[in-house]
Amino acid sequence: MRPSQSHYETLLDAVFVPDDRIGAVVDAGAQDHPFLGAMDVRAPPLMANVYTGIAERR
Amino acid sequence: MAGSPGAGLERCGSGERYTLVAVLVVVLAVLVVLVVVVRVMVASGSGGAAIAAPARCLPRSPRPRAPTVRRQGAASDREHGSAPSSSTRAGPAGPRTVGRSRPQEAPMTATLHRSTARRGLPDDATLSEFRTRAAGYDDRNEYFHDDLAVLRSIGYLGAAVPESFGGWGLSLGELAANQRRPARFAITRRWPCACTTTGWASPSSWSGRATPPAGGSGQGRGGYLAAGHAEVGNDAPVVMSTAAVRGAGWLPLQRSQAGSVPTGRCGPTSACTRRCVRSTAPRSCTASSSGGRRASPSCHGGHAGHATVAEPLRDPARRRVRA
Repeated sequence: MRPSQSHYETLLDAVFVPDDRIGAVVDAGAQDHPFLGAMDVRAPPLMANVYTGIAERR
Repeated sequence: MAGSPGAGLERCGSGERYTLVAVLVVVLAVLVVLVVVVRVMVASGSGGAAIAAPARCLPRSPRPRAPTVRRQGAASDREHGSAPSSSTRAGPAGPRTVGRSRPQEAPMTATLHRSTARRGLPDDATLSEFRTRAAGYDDRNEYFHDDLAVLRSIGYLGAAVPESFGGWGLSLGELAANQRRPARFAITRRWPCACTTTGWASPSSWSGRATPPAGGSGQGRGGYLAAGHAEVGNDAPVVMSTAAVRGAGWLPLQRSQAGSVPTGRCGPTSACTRRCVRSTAPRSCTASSSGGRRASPSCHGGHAGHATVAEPLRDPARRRVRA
């Protein structure tokens, strides 16, 4: 889990997530899961536009 | 006979008439060719401007528009009833001119305001607050909890969630375009990844597994989307977490899976207990087994309606996500 930076450790401390709120449980190492693909497609444009906005600062 | 009326015609023989007709045909052909050439040049735009072609033959060209200088956030200011902010703010990194979009961005900005202003985008005043806190976050290497709380309060965390799930239903393009505006306000460096998880809400809904409970999805109500995954050299989130996958859900454990972080947070006043009290299994967490690797089966499954997944704590060294 990385809501901030990759070198942070995010611990799921006493977290409960009901079954119907789980998007997908993917085996370790699986790279071709459609759910992961959907997230990967959405992530780069969002991050890229943030950095575009930073570059547009005046 | 020289003054007779038919003398001229008599001098004009058949050969001369043919020559005159041929000259006329050639002249007409040249005119036709010229007209065709002019139309082709006007249509292709090569040198057409220098040729005074009839107006009806000119293709329609977009009327040049004056650059739309529109202060970003004006619509949201009106929406929130806040006073318009000044166009120049002094942020941590010095004064910056904000809210004045570039001319080439005007169409994008206008579209953005049309589609999202009513949904509570952070206005200029809010973004100015973000800016004042950004340097402190970055200097102390802290997570932007206060900013995140504001974003949650206005529903921004559910921007990518479909409206049927309680979110705003922004498309990827709308959300991506909106990412630029806070970034122009010297937002903290934590922002990019946090907003990435915001965008992940939509595929979570597509999966068909994240069924919306009554009242909308958790992220649509301001909850947080979590994605637990480990990588080579970065497996601490898995081995040190106090939650574990069981079947298709997650279980709260009494201590970390690896035993390196003895938390023991499942007590009468713990977050885990409060979570379960609100769910349909009020005693599940307090009855969790010792050892930290298993929990009561009654805590597993069937607790629809509590969608808030995670909320980071104020721990700059090690953030823990609690329910």
